[in-house]
Amino acid sequence: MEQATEKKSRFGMLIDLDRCTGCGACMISCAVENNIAPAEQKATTRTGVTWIRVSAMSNGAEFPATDTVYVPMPCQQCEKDTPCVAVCPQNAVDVDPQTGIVGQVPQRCLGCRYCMTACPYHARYFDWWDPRWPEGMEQTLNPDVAPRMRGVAEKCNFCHGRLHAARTKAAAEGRTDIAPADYVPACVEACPAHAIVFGDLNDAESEVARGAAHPHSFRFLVKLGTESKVYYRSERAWVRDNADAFRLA
Amino acid sequence: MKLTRRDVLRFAGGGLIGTLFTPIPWKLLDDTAIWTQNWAWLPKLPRGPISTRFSHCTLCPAGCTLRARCCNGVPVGLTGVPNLATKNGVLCAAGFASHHMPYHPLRLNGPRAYTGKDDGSMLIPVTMDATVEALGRKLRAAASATSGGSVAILDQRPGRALSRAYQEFLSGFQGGQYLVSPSSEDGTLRALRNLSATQCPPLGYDFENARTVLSFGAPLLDGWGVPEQMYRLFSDRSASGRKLIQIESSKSRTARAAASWLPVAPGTEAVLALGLANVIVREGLYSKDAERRIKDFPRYRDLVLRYHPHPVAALAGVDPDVLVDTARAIASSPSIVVSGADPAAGPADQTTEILVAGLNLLVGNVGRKGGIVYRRDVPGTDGPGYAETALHQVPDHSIAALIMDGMESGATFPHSLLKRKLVEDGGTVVLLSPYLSGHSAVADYLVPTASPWETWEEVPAPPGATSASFSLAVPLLPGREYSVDAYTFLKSLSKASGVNLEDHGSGESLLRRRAEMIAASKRGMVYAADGSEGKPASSFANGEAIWQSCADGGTWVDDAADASSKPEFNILGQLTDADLARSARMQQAAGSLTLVPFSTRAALSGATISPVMSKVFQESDLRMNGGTVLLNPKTALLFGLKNEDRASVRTKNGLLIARVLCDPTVKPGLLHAAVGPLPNGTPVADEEQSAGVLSLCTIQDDGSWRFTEATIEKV
Amino acid sequence: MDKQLIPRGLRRTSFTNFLMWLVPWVLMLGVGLYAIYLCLAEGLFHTNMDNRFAFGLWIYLDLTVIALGAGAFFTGFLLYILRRDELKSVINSAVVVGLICYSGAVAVLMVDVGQPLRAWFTFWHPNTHSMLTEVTFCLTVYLTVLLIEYLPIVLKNRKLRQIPRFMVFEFQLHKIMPVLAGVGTFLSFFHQGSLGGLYGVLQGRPFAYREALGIWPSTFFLFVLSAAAVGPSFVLLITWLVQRISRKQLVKPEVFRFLGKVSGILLIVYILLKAIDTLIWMNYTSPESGFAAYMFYHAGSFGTWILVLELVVLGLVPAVLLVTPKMRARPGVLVGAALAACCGIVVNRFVMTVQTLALPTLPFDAVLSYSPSWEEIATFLAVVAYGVLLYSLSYRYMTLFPQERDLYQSSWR
Repeated sequence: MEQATEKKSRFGMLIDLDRCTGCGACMISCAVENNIAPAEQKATTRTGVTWIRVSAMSNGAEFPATDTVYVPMPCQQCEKDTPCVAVCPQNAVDVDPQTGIVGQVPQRCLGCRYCMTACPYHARYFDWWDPRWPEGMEQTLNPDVAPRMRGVAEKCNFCHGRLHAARTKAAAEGRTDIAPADYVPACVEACPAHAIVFGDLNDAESEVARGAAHPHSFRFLVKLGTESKVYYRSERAWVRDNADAFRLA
Repeated sequence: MKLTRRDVLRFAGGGLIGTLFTPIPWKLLDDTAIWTQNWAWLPKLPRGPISTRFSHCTLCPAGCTLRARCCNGVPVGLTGVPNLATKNGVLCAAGFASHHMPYHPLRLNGPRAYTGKDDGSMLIPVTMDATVEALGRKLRAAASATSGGSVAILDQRPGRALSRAYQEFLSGFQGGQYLVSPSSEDGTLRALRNLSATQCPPLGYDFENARTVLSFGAPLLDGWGVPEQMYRLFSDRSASGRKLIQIESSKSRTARAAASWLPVAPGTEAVLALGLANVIVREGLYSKDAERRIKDFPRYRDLVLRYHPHPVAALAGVDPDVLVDTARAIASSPSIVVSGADPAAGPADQTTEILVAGLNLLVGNVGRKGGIVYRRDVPGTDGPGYAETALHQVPDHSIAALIMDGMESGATFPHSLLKRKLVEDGGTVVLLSPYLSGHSAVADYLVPTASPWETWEEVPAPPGATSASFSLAVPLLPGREYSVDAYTFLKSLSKASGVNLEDHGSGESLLRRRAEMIAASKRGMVYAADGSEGKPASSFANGEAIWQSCADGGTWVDDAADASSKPEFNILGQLTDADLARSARMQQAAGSLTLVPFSTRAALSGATISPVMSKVFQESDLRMNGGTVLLNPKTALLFGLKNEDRASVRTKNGLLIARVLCDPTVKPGLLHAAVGPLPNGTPVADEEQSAGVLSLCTIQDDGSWRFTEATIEKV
Repeated sequence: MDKQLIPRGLRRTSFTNFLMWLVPWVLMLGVGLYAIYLCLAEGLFHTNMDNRFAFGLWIYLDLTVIALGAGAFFTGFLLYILRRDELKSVINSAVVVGLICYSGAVAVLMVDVGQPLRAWFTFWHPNTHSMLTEVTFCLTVYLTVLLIEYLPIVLKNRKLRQIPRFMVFEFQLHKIMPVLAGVGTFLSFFHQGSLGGLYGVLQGRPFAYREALGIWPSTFFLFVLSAAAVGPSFVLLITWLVQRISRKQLVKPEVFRFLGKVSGILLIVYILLKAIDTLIWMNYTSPESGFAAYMFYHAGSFGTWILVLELVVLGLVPAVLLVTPKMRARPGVLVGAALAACCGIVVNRFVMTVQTLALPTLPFDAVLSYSPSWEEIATFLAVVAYGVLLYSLSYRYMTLFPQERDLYQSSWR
């Protein structure tokens, strides 16, 4: 049997916090791409489902010295001892060794939410409600992504559907490796400020790998040792200095 | 045979054990799990052929080009398309879900009328014919001398062929007024044209070539002009030598990205503009050409010389050195001084608008590359046209019947402003809109028009564009039987009210006619959506060919206008000393706050955006649902408030129960109050009240409503 | 019928009185079952849990209830393995309490998970690295053990004993009791520990994370120890409570003192180890993960007071009282100290579950608060009601306290 081998990738992101204006385009394009249902009337910031969430981070200084960056936070795709993978009792979370993407299998998820308590980035969301769209709007769902049922956990998977599409395209063109331009997650494509760079961290020449090595690049909660693959970058020293832990008010 | 109890038990036990060796229990167990994956009430994914269509977004005036991925012909995903011509290549948050709009739960599914004017008045379904007939009568009555007012149309998307038809319709009424929203995006340009003593061509901002942009509160990086252009030019602080200076009380999204930020005390913008002019005049940095073009230059010079930077800086609460540097920066190279605010905050006060326009004249920005440039109107509408007035600038109680077109997309305004402009007894208001949006609460008649994606819609040049343009939003979905074409409705109104209106067929034929005129003019270039090189309009055989290109997502863009025009201006002509005196610091009573409404472009109520926008408004704190107030933590402390408290906000106009959030970027003493959608599923009646914050605002004599004194108390 | 079911030689209240006692509990159970229906049929939005407070009242109480229910396995261990025969007088009651705690906890868990119909997946596709898998395995098996242990108590009922087959079966069961006690102890050791491990392994939650000893974090052992320590205290407390409510003496005072002593000794060991563990965590584990431990006690309303409360006021103090013979000789002190010890565990489980989730991790996170919805409270109260009902029925119709008859007859004479 002929063996088709795809090179091993470690997909990652680099988000430039100085460019991000907190417009929210990533959050909406993500919801549309991944068929995340609109909120029910009672849903709040704490029960909503947003695979990528943009939060404001303040330098804590008083007005007018105050400064803010907006931090878009998708699943950080942790590489080492991935916190959510180890805890899942029924193997509904896994890391694809071929891509480094942390995947969630909603059909197998028990809905125990242990993974959510394990995630330090609060990047996992629970379906507290049945997914519901206003009448007729289900015609606008993305045909490539199945909506999740109530009672399971879900999270960002770097638009896995798009990876499949890129692989299909590569196969049709007789390649085993996908073309980087063919696989771009929805939020990266959407960002009007071009603040998000996406690519293979294993490819030293890729923009994301070079950017991640920049001295102004960093990762949140890096001392927890989760080796996340979503890097951030800011010229603002206070952002980098505060990335390791929560701050006291 | 006798059956004993023991036999029964044995049979049951044996049967049970035996069953375990059949697949039945295991299959059932498995099926329960499979059932949880296939609940009947889970939405089914669309199935069918995938295709791609180009179109334009109509949710806000930016009109961004987009590519729609369709399944079975229904758009299922949108992407921004870099458009070489109009530079609009990205979608905003709202734009990414614009294909949800045809299925919006707040869609209006037939004509409606209110039974009366009082609070108990109810919205009831009516027939289209009865509506047209009643309106015809009302329009005739409004046009009569006894009504005390006139007929007016508020066009929320000016610049379309339909806008032209509106103007023609109005010319049939004595004193008919063509109104535009008090949008602030072209406020400075409108002020400049109003100051001109001679004929002044239409104007646009040449941001691409400007070296310095001084913004008086314009949210350049938060939904303004063409977002792609703004992000490209200003989102990177280290970008090549281009400098954005933001004058704004609070550290907004734009202020934090600007090269420098002047945290001006609210209400002192006009004084600050005079202080800047003072530096420019005293240091002789003004344009000598401008000196000739400003006809009242000596008076203007004498006035600004009274405003030395130090006292001005002290009054406005900014660093005097920064003020001087800012003045030098705008005088030293092509620059743009622009005033604005996010859509709910409305226009700046008239004095500020005039003085900001004056700064542009002083440094010679008007008619200069990299400044404020001339442009032409779309072919067929050139030359002296109809007067266009912003709603807040028409005389009070001068409108007896008002037709409001479209949903509030670019901007909104308080209902109290509208009430003030209507005749004393309230007049008649008709709203043409696909949705029960914020303004439907003040309308007497609601007429359902087609939603985006269901009809051909014209996308004219965005406000402030440097040249006229023409593109189309494509109908990918069949129209609903209950929605009407605005142009057809206008024609039946003209018949019912006895006004002569040339019949051009349907709304679509009106647009095709415009394509014909463009072809006939042989002006401009047509750019395809795929990013290929533009082709001159003259190379197209006829209007149909241009129409075809635009129907495929292309854009026609006009040539640059003749730059030789030298209009002359009177800066202080309309300004009185009393106006200037009012521009002194706003008096803030002890224990009170200054309420400033804010909003996000295109997201002015739950009806103007997809329900999935709850991701940013309801399911995160990135944007605020209507009725949220932001306070500086220190101010909050002063009033005994903390995050997530409920508080009553009171002004002399009313009371609102608000959700409190502390935000260190808000200037102490300010109360930023959000105008925007309410949580999904909020009843329509409450949704209509989403203008609640605006009802608290005091309308000033010049029609602006930006600052209102308010108090806040925990409930 | 009622009369015939009541064990011979015991005095019980009238049937009407008994029914009156049951009514409020049945109502409570009914309201709870409605709340459970809402959660299962419509979704967990009926709770006040959210994406960050993914575990709420239910998990907290599950952990607490299972720790308190440890009295069943530990009493069994002392009686059948270590042969402390004086515990025969409380073992039946302890088994019933254990059964109630465990079955109640499992029932609540089935409401708590979003997809209860997939619960069996854990057996079919188990992730052996997950503490929750270990918990699920041990809980289900141990619940079965408890049911088997409960069976002889039921079969000993006067009416049922008339069936010869049951009598034989009961006798056979009795012979394997030590084996069951051993299995129960073994299973309990693992799931009590795994419940501690549940939080101790959370690398992403530096407040809960602990260094591993072998493959288990230190909380694994601390949970086993603390559960073993308060188990006897809880048995003591329940027995005392039943005595008060039924206004009868059910066991001899020395049994109380013995339970108190066992509890006290284990508690001393536990507090010592917990103190060492806390010091290691404060000085090494937490700072190494980027979080200075003092921060956790300056965020929101969680001050160091909670540490003092847990370890000293409700830990060391009752432990010392319980191990001092003079003090535990005084019934008031004995019961008070047992209550304090149980409260100490209630606080410890609160800190591990609720405080862990309330504390922020990211620099832009806030300290969160959470209060359960009525559905959550009602569901929990349904378990309490179910417990009271099951215990009341067991107490009325079965012999929970073998000494009761002797004590009653001796007082009668």
